[in-house]
Amino acid sequence: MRLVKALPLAVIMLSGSVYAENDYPTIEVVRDVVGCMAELGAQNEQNLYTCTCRHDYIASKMSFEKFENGTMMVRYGQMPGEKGGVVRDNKKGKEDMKELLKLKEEAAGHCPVVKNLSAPPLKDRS
Amino acid sequence: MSKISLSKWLLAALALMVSAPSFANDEVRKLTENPNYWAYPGGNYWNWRYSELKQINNKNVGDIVAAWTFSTGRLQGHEGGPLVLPSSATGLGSDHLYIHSSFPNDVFAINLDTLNITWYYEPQQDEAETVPVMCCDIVNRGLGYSMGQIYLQQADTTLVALDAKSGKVNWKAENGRDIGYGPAAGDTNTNAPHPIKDKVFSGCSGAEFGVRCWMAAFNAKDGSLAWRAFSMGPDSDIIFDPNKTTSLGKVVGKDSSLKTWCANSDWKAPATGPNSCKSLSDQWKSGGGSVWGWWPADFEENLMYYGSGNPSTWNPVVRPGDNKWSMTMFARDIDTGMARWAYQMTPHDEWDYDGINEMILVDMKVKGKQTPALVHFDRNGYGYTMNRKTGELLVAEKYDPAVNWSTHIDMKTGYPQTLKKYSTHYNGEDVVSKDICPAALGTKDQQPAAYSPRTGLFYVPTNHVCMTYEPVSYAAGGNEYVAGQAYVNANLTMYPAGAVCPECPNNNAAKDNMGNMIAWDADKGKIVWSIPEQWSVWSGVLATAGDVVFYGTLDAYAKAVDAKSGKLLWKFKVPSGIIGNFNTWAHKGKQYVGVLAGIGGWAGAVVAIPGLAAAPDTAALGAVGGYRALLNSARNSGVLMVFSLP
Repeated sequence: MRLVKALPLAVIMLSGSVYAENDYPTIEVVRDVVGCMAELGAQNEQNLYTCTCRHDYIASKMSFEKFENGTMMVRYGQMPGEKGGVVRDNKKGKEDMKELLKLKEEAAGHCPVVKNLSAPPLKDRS
Repeated sequence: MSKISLSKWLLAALALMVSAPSFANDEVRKLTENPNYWAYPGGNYWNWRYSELKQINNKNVGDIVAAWTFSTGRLQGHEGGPLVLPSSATGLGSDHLYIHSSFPNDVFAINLDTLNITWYYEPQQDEAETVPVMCCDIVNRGLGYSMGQIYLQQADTTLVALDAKSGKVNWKAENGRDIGYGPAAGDTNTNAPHPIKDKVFSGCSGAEFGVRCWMAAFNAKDGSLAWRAFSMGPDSDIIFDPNKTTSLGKVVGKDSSLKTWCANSDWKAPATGPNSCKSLSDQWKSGGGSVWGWWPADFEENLMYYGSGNPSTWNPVVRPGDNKWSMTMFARDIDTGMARWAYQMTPHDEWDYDGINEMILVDMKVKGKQTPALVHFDRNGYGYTMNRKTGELLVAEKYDPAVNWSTHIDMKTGYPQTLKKYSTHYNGEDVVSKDICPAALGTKDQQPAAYSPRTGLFYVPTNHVCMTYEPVSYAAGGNEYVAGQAYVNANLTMYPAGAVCPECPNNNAAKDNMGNMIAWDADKGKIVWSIPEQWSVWSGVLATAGDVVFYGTLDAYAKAVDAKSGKLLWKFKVPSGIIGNFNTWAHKGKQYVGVLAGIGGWAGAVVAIPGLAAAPDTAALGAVGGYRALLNSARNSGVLMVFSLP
């Protein structure tokens, strides 16, 4: 019983910046959060808490433009061929990627994975 | 008065004659004139990429939303765009959309009534043999249609004709193996097959592997070879008539290609005018000149047009001479392949400025005179306007002010006036030439431009990127030519053009934009408007009668701008960068705009290129270093995004 009650409390503390004001378009917020949940292994409430918290942490410290550049580098930095050169050699992109990866690491520390503890099935509780 | 009305009637009669001649593939020509469909890669046979549809226009384009999407299930780069055909063409009961994927080049027929897949075709290709010899990602640029058949040019050089109704293979043809090339020799394909009249045209990729490339015409009926014209070699191989084929109005004479591959190392670079060889080499045998663009046809003249790519290898020092006919635009007879004219834009290439970009055919006023024109935006940074019948050079101006490797094009000789400072040959092997603009990928690559007859403007997706270029000598580890092995021998880095040209008017405020979307006046040779883009504009452009221009960016935005002003009217973040082409069609009274999103490069999917990834000295072209474990966020396959009004 006590554990079940404690969980929502922890969630409230973690997601302090739920109403963060920034210039991130909704579609990109959702993509980032869904991608993060995929990385954590499942789309569930616990990972939603963790991932929204991490997203808000990054969004509070980095403009969308920089986030976009950094994401671009992370995703396409190893693209082969000439068009890859545009991405690979991009100085600003590299700086933004460095910052993004640093913030992601910080965000992981700031927003640890929410543990999923479920109450035992009702028939065992008597 | 009577004189005027008479000439009016004459004009009208002439116009009728021009617009309604009878040809073998009248069917496809008629389809290209019906804006409800998209039947040829370039939209029409003049490569306009323009549609008469205007339900979506510059007043309401801001309201368009995603209507449906289709995942191809394949990763890596997705170039080209869909074909849309009526039931009268396919024999199926309803309009169908045909779309392809990156390697292994799956083909899907999608029923537009139900959005169900009617059939799909999954070619069996030898991945281990083919993928490692594709220089620049495993893209495919789409499909062709004629005579009830969908054509697919597979990466492994097999050309396939599929029954549009059932997806069954009607015939297969070899486009390389038949002459000892094919993937085992570094020969692959990326181009869309282009059906023109009763033939299907397809080219050749592999200049980075020393393949001597060609344009081939196959008979659509049975896949037999009609003709094949190489980019370099003896006159019979390149299908030139030494006494009739011209270049800038002069007959080219005997051995016009062979004479320009020199053996004498004292041949002087850069090539700023004709400079003959003292002795000849056989470097042309591995001479490159790949062919992988978008090809228009002029039925009145019975000509088709295309460009050839870089001479091989990328180290220019080992191939003194003009290296004809690499970097060349060709006008060839559709039926026989005979070249009417050819013009080499970048003689003795020292930068990889492939000449393969699309030619756009337009009847327009050039310098006050009505002209049958051909407009071409070359990788080398010049926008060319030619007389497409005679091959006369009319306009050659820089379409990015950052272009610096040459000062201008000599309009008499056609030679670029290259500065020694930027001549990688003059500076020598194993020397880094700096701040050359544009970079190897060109002021524009294959992504095709659009033309709107309503504005008379060309809409051109461009790069704004400069480079360092170091030709690598054999002594310093460059590869000698071995069939099927990478044959590049150059190191490159690329960066925003603002770093070299801080005063360029098309820089953004931070001077770090790597692309611009421009509108071009091909008569004056001037930029009309220019929109800076942080990352290169790498999509094919679409212009419509709604005065909207659609384009996409590497950082995954689909955008619509006003055709007259360039004002941004709509943007939408798609799941991956856009290197596909925007096409449009109408179904049941509703206009749709579609584009493939998917630039590849996702960590887990990157395919190593042996000899590039492994050897750091040739890494500039391809994959660099090892594979870091990257964030596994939302890995998408190529996605066809389709938009419409709500």
